[in-house]
Amino acid sequence: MTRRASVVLGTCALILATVVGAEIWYLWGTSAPSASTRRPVVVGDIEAQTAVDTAATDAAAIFTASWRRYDAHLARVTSLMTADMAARYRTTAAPVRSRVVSSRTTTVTRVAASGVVRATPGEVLALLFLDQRTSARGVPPSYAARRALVTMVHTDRGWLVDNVQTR
Amino acid sequence: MSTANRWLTMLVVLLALGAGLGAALTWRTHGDRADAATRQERYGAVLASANAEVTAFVNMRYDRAARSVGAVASGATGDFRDHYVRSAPHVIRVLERNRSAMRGQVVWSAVTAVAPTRATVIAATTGTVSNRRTKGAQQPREFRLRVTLVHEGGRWLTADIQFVGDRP
Repeated sequence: MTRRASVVLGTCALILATVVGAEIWYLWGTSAPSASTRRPVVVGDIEAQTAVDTAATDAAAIFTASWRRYDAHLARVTSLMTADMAARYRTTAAPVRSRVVSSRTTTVTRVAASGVVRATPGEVLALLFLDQRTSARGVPPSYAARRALVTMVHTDRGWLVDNVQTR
Repeated sequence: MSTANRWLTMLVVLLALGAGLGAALTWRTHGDRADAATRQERYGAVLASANAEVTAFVNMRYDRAARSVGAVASGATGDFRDHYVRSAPHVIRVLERNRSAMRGQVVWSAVTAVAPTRATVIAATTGTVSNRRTKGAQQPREFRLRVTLVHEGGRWLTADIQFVGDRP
């Protein structure tokens, strides 16, 4: 009788241990889904929107510049970027500086629309429609309707701009 | 009852409690994940429908005018569809008279807002246009579009397409 009870109890313990193991695997062992065409956004709506809003604010700041405060602008906007992006931006901005100052160019950029293309917990791609108005000495003011794909990455400093493609 | 069986009984009771708690957590997590999957797949479905509609919208050929207009109408609904279908004969005449051909594709598209039955997408397109005025030469055409979609009959259909800030 004792031996039979031991077998029954042991079997129950084994089955229950297997069930608990399966539950633990389901709860903590499965990885989060990765972004795909079918599921381009694998984070919550609020998290994605926060990154897109940050991308819009940062892009407006990056593409709004005045010849009067170009160095201050450069210092300010590079703080919104990852180290790699900031280095790339400084490299491209340096040759532009003299042209901007000599032609007294001022560019004001407004975000006309924004949305999320793809989002994971660490990276968000945001599409922005930018309205750019440029004035410079000796030429009539101009307007450009641009489209920008901004890559935002999540760091310990929050969402930072890691890349900008414009068309 | 032997000492070993007493320990086994305690172990079974503990494991049963753990399995019960785990079952409750698993049930709740499964529901949360299913909700998240539905929400996340909605983004993909909305973008796919918007991309298809915008692609049809920026591809119009005078020699396939009726088919071009039909492609847009098939993904549309409501007033937008009614207006489009009503004006189709005029659009076809204009396309044929001007020998207009517009080719394009979606470069990027993004979800601006999404809910279970309504969504807004923005899309950037690139392409070319040729007509009598360009003497047949293809000129570049880029658009910024805002697409409103509604979920009807299991499909996301376009309720409106607007150009975004294309003028200063």
